[in-house]
Amino acid sequence: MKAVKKDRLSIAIEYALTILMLIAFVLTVTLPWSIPAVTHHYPGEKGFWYEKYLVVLIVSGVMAMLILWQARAVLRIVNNGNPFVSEMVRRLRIIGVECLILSVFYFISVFVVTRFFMVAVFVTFSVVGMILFVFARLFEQAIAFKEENDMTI
Amino acid sequence: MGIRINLNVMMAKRRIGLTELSDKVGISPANLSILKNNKARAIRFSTLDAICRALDCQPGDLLEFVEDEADGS
Repeated sequence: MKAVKKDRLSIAIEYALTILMLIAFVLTVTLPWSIPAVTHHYPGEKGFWYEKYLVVLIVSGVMAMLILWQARAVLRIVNNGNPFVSEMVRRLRIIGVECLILSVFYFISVFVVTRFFMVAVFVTFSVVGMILFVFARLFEQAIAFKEENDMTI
Repeated sequence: MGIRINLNVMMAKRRIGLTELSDKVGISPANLSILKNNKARAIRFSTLDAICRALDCQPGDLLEFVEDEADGS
């Protein structure tokens, strides 16, 4: 039984996430060339800022692609018409774990690359990760309610 | 669960099929089948009312309490 109708916004977001994934891939692959162009830090220079930025941004890019991949799967479940399935809970938990992994990475990186945006990313992804776990729990309860309702004749 | 639904017994007594009963009661044959096979978690008063009207019986004819084997010592 379909619980929600297909709506244009969620379909559009699904396509947008695919495009964002491609953009993230291109940006990650071109990082060795884009970092010197944007930050004017070059390989082997004093302070190793190029290498530090490269590691931080490659890890960020890979994690962003993984998160976008899962988010796309979540949108696909929504667009199928029945978001109250255990697959949704699993996907939300995976995104939550990915966000927390990224926040832990940024927390550790703060000691190497001491910049304000590192702290901001750490805080943001910690909060988002924890909220996603709450949402996964909510969906779990919603699935239980739906099953109860479906089996009430 | 301790409550058993004897819908199939009443249907046999009244010589009525699942499709005919579902037409009379106004619920889908699939849902009626869930009820008949004791897979339902709950039954609405409105459904019970409609089935009792269609089969000309009392709720007690449809529902039966059976002691669970685990509790029955």
